Amino acid sequence: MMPNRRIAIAFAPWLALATLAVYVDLAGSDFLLHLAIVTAIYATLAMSLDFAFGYTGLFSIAHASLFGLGAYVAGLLIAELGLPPPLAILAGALFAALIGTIMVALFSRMEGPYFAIGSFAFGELVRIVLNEWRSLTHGPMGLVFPPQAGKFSFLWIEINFRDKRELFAVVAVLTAMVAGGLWLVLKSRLGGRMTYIRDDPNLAMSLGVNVFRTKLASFAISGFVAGLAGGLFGIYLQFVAPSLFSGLESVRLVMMVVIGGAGTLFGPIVGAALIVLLPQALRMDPTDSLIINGVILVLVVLFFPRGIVGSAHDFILRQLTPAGGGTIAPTAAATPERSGAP
Amino acid sequence: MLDTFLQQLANGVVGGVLYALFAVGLTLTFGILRVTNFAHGEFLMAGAFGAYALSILGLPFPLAVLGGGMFAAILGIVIERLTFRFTLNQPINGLVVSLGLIAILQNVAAKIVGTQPYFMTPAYPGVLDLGGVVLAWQRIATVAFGLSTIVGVWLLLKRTSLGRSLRALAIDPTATALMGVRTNALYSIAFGIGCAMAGVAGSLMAALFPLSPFMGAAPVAKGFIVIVLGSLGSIPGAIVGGLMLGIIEALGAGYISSAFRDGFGFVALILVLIVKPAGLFGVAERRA
Repeated sequence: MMPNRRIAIAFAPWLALATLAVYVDLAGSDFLLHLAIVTAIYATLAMSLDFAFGYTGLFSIAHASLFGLGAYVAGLLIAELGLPPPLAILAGALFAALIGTIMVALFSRMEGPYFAIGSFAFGELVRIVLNEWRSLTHGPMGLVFPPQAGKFSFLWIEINFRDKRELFAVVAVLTAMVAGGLWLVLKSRLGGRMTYIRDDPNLAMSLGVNVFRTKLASFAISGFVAGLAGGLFGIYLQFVAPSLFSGLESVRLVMMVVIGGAGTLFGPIVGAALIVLLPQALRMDPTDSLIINGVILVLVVLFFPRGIVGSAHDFILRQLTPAGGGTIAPTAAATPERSGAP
Repeated sequence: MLDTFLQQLANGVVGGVLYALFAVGLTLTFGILRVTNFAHGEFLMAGAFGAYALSILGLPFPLAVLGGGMFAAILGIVIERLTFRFTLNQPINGLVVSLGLIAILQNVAAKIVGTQPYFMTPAYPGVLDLGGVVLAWQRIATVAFGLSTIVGVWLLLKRTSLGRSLRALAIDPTATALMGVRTNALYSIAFGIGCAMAGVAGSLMAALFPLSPFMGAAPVAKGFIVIVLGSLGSIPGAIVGGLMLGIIEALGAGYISSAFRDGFGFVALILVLIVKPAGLFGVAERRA
């Protein structure tokens, strides 16, 4: 094999993405910045779902609710306690992590579709509570963030969240940090244990992996990232309502992960970009774009179950292998693996 | 006091029969095709609009209900042939496909009929007054049609050779195929029956509630609560679970909080999952 070329290929997309982000932040129009912010936030959210689903095998349909929870907690802390936005976002993320961990603890004995159904019910319950607890959340009307949620100053740093250019810089850096952080975790022993559980929970258990603790840890990280994305989204919109994370939002999220490629970390970013940008590029109304996205999702599952990035990765690996070089053994956590993911 | 309780109970039973009807179809597709079909509610919606169209054309209510069920069944069989047929061995893939189908079916329906609500005129106006407990005839008809559909499917499964093959398929597809049963056709039939039940439930709902392309979203959540309460794949479980959920919701809304009506089922589900992950009627082996 040619290690240098493989490394180059592994890093090229990230480099291209970073260049694109810097370009958009410096020269993008208002509309382009809006799209970039939304894409980056959804990419973060989709990565968090991929971390739980693509790597640990926990198919969560509650992630849209964890996202919403992060946004609500951040907004409420700013509005009611006057916390500075970064602290409020952090608290929202921690709260989402806590709720996500409790959910996994409750459903720890359930696998595959069973966990999916349980998480679906749990997510719905969170949404109903947020919708009906009107004295706190203002119900379906939504929660408008107070003016102090629009800016943040600390020592010499001053950030105006209402300025799209400044906000995108923050969001882009956080997205990069999340991607890097998740990648490091996946390279760690925890990441290895997660993939064992995904591939065969019984075998993992027999090898001495603490399945319960590993699931909790991975879901805590995943929930934290989902809540973080939610807090950022709330700060961007300066508003949050239950309709922002309806059941259809969970479906869109699954589309991002699966179309991009579950279990590939980079794939959900591509998926998020596709789901957010495609309707804009083709100037479709939401009804048409949901139909198209649904069709793409079904086709991807049936014909390219590894998603865009997974399939492209497989294709490139095949090209790199010298003719007659035998099979490519999937290695390490960094290489996306086949099973578990659709 | 007692009257109020009986009235709530009666309302609960009407809702419960609809839940049971919908959930038996859902649990059938889960048990036989191993598909966690989140798009089951969209077949309910298709059936409801089918029945609505037929009643507009002047067909009597029972025929409209039958037509709604058949429309949902045909749609289901076409979709099964195109998608779920290829995900039999990977339950998670089937689940993801069904999520995609939600987006497709809801929005295709929205393109055809628009997003405004439709109202179907009840076929059986008037009420039955039992001294305190008041029941609309339409609701009594709903219970009658719903129960007879469930009993019909039950007899089909238990008393016919087709039913025996279907039950065998749920237990062991390979052995069933080896016994000379044409399993390919059976998968379509099973999915068709499941969708027909959703379609009948939708047709019955059409006479009670407004119709819209998005009317399937709430029932599917309830349907999953019901089949998990009653253990996935178990038909008696789905019937009992459906009635239980209807009654829990009616009493919860009446005595605790009507705003939280939709939440009671989820709470019950989560409690049951914690205590008995295999459901109330479940055997441990059924799980995963």
